Parts: sequence; C-alpha cells; structure tokens
Amino acid sequence: MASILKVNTIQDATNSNTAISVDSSGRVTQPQHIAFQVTLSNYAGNAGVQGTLTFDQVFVNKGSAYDSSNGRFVAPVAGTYFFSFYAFVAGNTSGSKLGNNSTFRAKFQKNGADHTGFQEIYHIIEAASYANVSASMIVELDVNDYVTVNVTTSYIYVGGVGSNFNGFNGHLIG
Amino acid sequence: MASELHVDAIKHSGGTSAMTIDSSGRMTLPAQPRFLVTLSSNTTVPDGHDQDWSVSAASWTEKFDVGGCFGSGLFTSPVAGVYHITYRMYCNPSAGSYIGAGMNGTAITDTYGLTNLWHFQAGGNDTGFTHTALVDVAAGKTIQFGTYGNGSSTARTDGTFIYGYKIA
Repeated sequence: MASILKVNTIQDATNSNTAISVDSSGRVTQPQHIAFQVTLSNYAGNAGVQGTLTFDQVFVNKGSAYDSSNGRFVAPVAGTYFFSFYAFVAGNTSGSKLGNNSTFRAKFQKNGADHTGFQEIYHIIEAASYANVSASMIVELDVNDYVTVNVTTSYIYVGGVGSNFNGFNGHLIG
Repeated sequence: MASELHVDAIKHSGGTSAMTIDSSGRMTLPAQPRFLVTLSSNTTVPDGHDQDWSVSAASWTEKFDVGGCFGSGLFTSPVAGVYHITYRMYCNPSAGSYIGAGMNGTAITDTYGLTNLWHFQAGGNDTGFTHTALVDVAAGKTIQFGTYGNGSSTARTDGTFIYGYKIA
C-alpha cells in the first residue's frame, strides 16, 4: 500500500526552515531553493569587455550563491545545476559592432579552469550589425565549486545601467 | 539522530497530489506550473517596436500548459515563486539589419525594474536566437513578448517558441 503524506509545509529537522510548501492545487514552492539572475551593465556605456565577467546587477539571488564582487556563482550545496549565459557582442573596447567574419568566443569555467565537456560559445558574425549569443549547460558541483563566464575572443557590449543586454542565470536542479 | 520520512507521495492537506517518489528515489511534481507554446503560423515582425507582438500579432499552439501559465500570447504567474522563461525566435532579417526580441510586463518590471528586457541579433540569412530570464514574482504577474524590426522580416514556425517553468 502506498504511503501518502498530506501536508502543507515541510521544514528541516534542526532549524525549522521551510523547505517545501504545498498549496491546495498541489503546486510546490521551495523558498530556500538556489536560483540567481544577474546582468552586466554598470559601465559608463559604449564599452567592450573581455575576460572573466563580473555581472554587477543582481535581480534574483535565492540562497545568496552569486557574488557580484567577482562574478562567481559558488555552490552552497553539492548537486546538479543549470546555467545560462547571453550577451550582446562587440568588436573592440569601445563597443563597436563586430565586423564581417569576426569571431566571438565565450565559455563557462569551473573553479577558474576549463572543464571537460563545458560548453563554449563559438560564433562567427557574417554581417556587421548587432548580434546576440547565448549558451546553457548543466554541471555537477561540489560544495564551494564555482562557475564563471569568460569571454576569450572579441568583447561583449556593455551599456549603461538599465540596458541589461548581458546576463547570467542558473538554478539548482537536484 | 537524523529525522527521516519514508513516503511514496506528498499531497496538500486537502488531498491534491504535489509530489511522488518512486522506489529509486526519483521525484515528480505533477502540478508544478510549466508550459510550452510554438508559433502557429509564420508571422511578420514589423519595422520598429511592437511591444505586444505575442498578443496582438502572433498566435500560438499550446504543447502543454500545467497550471494555466499561458493564454492569448501572455504568460501569467499562477502562483508566487521563481520562474525560468525562454523566448526563442527564428526569422530572416536582411543582411546589415537586425532583429530584436523583448520581454515586458509586470513580471519584468517587478524583477528588473525595467520596461523591457531586450535581445538583438544580426541579420543576414535565416537566424535564430534565444532569450532567457528568471523572474521572482507574486501570483498574477505577466510577461508579453515583443519585437523590434529593422526592416520587416518573418518569424518562422520551425524555430519560434516560448517555454517556462516554476523553479522554486
């Protein structure tokens, strides 16, 4: 016989933090679940940025796992995580458009190093115009492993606060 | 001593199923809000800003929609929480031009403090691009999906879709 628990709230046994709440429609909310959404847009505008990105605008940071001082998402618990990155690409430090047949490269890194199987964005622009790139992946992390985004070829265009053309987000899957 | 609960299913106190756990420990959440809609027919992306393109210009084929998240071109959060939303477009802006896709609505305003969250993509041949955002919202907040054309182009059914799901 199946064992069924009927409950509205489940808390941890030690500190009584709510882990799961269940509403009358069976929808589950996990207030401590790890999830974040950040963007990069605090430069003075019209700038091209390269290297490990420090996303400064924090819009969602459940679990406080993202550190806006260094661009790192640091795993608070071991598990499998989803990450996504998107950007508006540029051809130089002034934020000009990429030229014809220019190449843009960016990648996710784990603990500051390349990781086998990590997804890299590789994009060749065929027309000198605005362009968007995006990538996503899932990865298994131990506690305190960190994930960053590194632009290695060409640049991302960073406008003033509010442009938010470049983002990094993720969440714990399980 | 660790406190353990051995159970096959978790339901709301009123009896509605929320979670099942099988003999391998795998969990499913049958009532968790999630949806996928695809563009029903090739649709013009007009020149300039069309903030409510998903509502006023496009029609959508619902592949699944648990919890009634999407209707008439609009996402509405059925319950408070964090949602993952992806807006994918496949279209054909001409060389030298570009195409834009924006999310706007109360869920974007409440999370980002912005009217629009934009992506732009270079023209040329056919092109596809993906726009992903997380929102942390109360129940009843909305997102509509807009466009910004630089010269008219057409969004195609074989690569234009919107999906989302409740994360937490």
